[in-house]
Amino acid sequence: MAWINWNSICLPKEEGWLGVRRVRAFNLSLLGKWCWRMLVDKEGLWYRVLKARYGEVGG
Amino acid sequence: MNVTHLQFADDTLIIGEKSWMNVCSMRTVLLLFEEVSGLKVNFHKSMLTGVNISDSWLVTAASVMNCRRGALPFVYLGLPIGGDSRKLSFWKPVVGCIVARLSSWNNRYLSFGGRLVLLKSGMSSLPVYFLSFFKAPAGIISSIELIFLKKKLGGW
Repeated sequence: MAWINWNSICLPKEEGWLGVRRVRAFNLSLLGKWCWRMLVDKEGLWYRVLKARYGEVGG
Repeated sequence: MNVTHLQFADDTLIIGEKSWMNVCSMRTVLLLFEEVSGLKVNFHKSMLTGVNISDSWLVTAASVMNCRRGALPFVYLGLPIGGDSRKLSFWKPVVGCIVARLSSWNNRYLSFGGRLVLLKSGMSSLPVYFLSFFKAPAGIISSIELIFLKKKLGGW
């Protein structure tokens, strides 16, 4: 069988590639969800603990 | 803000300051809880873990509590607490889980498309829980991708 490189495997399926998840980008986006939650979910226990520990600057 | 305990499903984490009074009262409260509710606390499965506390104190406190002495990092809700996510050993269970899952699948009898579906829907979701809490070092990411690439797509 022919080998192609990982980058092209991860390209979108609509364009004829395989559309496999890129692990690095996936990791970063999952971690980014915490940043998003920090802005949206200000009543959450997680946010209140962080606020008590590190303070709240600039909203 | 004071977090005294965390409870989820059958896991309970009780957090407190180091003092003999806390150890004794925690023991008393747990025993009273057993009497009142009829639910038994399994002290042999419970751990007493200290953060910056001398070993000798922990050993005596653990024997008073009649429980085991735990050490950081320990696993709470499937995640290691107090570990260093930049170390390769931290990610061993994740990589091991993927490898173990792969070895049980005999992918010789699957078509290329079948293996691709397995990779995309099954394999790449295994590390999601870890990846949503910790930033994976580059070496771990490339080794996970290498496992996917070799075992699933090229594993004839």
